[in-house]
Amino acid sequence: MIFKICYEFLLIGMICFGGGYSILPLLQSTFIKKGWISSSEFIDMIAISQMTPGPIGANLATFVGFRLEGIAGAFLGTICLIIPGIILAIGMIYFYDKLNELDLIHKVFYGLRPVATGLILAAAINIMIITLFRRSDVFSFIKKIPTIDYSSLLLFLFCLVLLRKKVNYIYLLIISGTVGYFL
Amino acid sequence: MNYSFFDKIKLLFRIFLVFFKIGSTTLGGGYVMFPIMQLEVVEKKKWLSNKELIDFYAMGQSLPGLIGPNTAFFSGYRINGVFGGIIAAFGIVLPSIIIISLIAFFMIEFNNYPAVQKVFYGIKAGVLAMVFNAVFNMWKNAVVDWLTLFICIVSAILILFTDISPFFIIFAGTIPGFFMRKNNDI
Repeated sequence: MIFKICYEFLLIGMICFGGGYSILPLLQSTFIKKGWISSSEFIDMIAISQMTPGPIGANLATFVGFRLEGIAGAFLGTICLIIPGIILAIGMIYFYDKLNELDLIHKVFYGLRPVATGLILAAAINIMIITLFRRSDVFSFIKKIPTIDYSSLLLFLFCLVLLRKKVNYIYLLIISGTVGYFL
Repeated sequence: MNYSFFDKIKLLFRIFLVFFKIGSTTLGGGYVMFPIMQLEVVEKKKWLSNKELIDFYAMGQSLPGLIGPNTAFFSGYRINGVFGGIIAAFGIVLPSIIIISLIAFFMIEFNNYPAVQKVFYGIKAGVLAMVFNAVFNMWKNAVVDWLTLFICIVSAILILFTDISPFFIIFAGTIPGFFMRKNNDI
């Protein structure tokens, strides 16, 4: 199991472009689809990772690792996640002068950015189905269109407006948690 | 500069402490981390120039993985070679490992309280809003023409409805740029 965690996190570390939230779809398709962690638990993890100090990706990786294999999983998961980036960074320093680096990066990122956006969009849709419709995934959603959880929907729209008005994440989660308690 | 072995260890330890501090004081991830790095590494310690840090941040963003540790690696490398880099990247994630492990350890029992469940019922809606907000923010830079719109929608559909690994989708995403004519507002 511990090797499996290392392997999966090394893979994720290799393909996780765009920082922070781009790790969400990758963790989802690696750990949640296989049923190792429940979707609902995963959303709690995102909330806590956002509220605690440190890079969100590192927080989430620690969470998933700890949940699967305790402190060793937490440690190895996070370390393995950052190893590929560091190895490539060493390569980047050595080849910095030889590569016409900027042009190459522009080309690669032209397609990579929309892919990363699409993957996070998919993660957002997954979370929406769980939060607003109380279904576990897209397929169970399509089979039988469920009723909407209107109080969650309203709270979601309210939070979205707050975010567009540049309200800090921490306050947002405190507000939504307080509202949730009184619902 | 000619450091003795002892001085080198001392410097590595100081690098570790500074990046540990950065990791334990930034709330909200990568984008909040930059100004704090600026304060600690450029203004207080004067290890790097502001321009260097901006370059490192851009380089860190272009690599896979997490922006914080990647930027920390480049900074640490500049201060004291590969070891400096590794120590810096490790320092910046160690607070996460400690804090989250503690929370995860207590959460298992904590989660059984109905009050906690109610709070998290509300927080889930907040998280949903945060993730959609992240999509909006990325969309502005990513979807610049019809082709990128197409790529974005197709990759979302593939990940939602098929079992294709995101590894292949992301790899495929690196290709279209090479068929574009030179830098039209990429």
